[in-house]
Amino acid sequence: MRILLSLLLVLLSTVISKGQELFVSTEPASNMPSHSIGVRLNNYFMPSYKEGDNMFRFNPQIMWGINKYLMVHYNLFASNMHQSSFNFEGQSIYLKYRFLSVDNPHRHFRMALYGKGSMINNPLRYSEINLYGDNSGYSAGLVATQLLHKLAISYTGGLTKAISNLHSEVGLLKASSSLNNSLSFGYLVYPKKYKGYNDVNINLYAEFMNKFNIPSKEYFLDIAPAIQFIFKSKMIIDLSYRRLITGNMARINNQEYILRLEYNLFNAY
Amino acid sequence: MKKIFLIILVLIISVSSKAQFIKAELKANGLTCSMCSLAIHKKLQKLDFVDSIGNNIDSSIFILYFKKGAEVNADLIKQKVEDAGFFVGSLIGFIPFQNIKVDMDYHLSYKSALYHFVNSKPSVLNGIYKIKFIDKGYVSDKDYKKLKKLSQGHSNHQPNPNNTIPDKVYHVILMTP
Repeated sequence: MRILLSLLLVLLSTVISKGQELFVSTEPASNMPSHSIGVRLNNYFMPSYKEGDNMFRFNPQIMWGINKYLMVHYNLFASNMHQSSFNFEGQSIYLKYRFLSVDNPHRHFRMALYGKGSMINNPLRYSEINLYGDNSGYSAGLVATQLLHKLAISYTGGLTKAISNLHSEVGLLKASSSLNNSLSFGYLVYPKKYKGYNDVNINLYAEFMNKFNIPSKEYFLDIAPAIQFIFKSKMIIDLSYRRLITGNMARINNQEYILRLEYNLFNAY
Repeated sequence: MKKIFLIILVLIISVSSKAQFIKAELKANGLTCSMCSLAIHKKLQKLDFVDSIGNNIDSSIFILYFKKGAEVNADLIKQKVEDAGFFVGSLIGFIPFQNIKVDMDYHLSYKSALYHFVNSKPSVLNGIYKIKFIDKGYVSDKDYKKLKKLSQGHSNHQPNPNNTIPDKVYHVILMTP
């Protein structure tokens, strides 16, 4: 915890120079370049309370920059979180529309609207509503991102509504709506000066995610520090650890390790 | 009179045929990292009149070297930067001049476009000159507010030598070489 706090302090105390917004747990308001396609392999490792019962979720994702305003993500989910064996769980689609850009040298302020829908075949047993493999549902919200040289700060706020999973009624949930808020900080630590596109980039992130269920008033606040390596300006490896800071929500897990691999293809077509 | 007209015609034709962008310096706004810079670089590479591109990632500057004789289209450069998700902060074209006489509000006809020099004074241009594009989208919104006055109030753009209406009129500032 002390390490997390000092990491955060480092991030906050360097509000002066250039930034990164390729967040691991949230999305920035900026879009992908038009006609580009990206592939992400998201791996979530969750240590279980019971020994030998660790959980793993695999989430491959395809990202597509339709035009300069609009992008889409398509996700597939598979895990052993709700069944003893590794099973296919479902799919989701995410759309983001960038509607505001105020750009200046090494700076921008951008805003975007997003919408997401998911169709999942898992039993509904926990209070947390998420469209990352556990719930069928839809959500919509707003993202605002400020880039200040090496520092990026992003806010996401939205509403998520759960519907019945393919074989589990939504009535099993204490609350079917959830307000979500997150605040993310990203900082480009390396290189100090670029030599070329092949320079390895290292970014540090601290993300805070909050959910509040309506009407049950269950909530949580998570922190997710992350380190990101970018190779050849198109391949990304992210390592993150997400854990609960405070909350009273019944969740399948209060901590997870994230390993994400990403490859981007510019001018894919 | 006929002689003068002929001289003027020859002069106009020589300007329009010899005028050629040799390179341009593009500064993009809204980015810091090399991944964003590469996104712009890859888009610019798609332009058929671009021969090669030099970079300074730290300052988000791209030097575009153009193919000889190819028609350079500034609007397409701007479009590519915006397609990558960013904006043009400044675009400066490099044009060689050989004994070209310019007046106030000089109009340079180049291929299908007209370049209106909003600050030109009667002089003879010799050597490589820089022209800075000042239309909306070619400078930051902040700079555009300051430069707006220069590009407004000059609606009588003369036609190009073929007497056709230019496809596009760009407002530019002539910079000292």
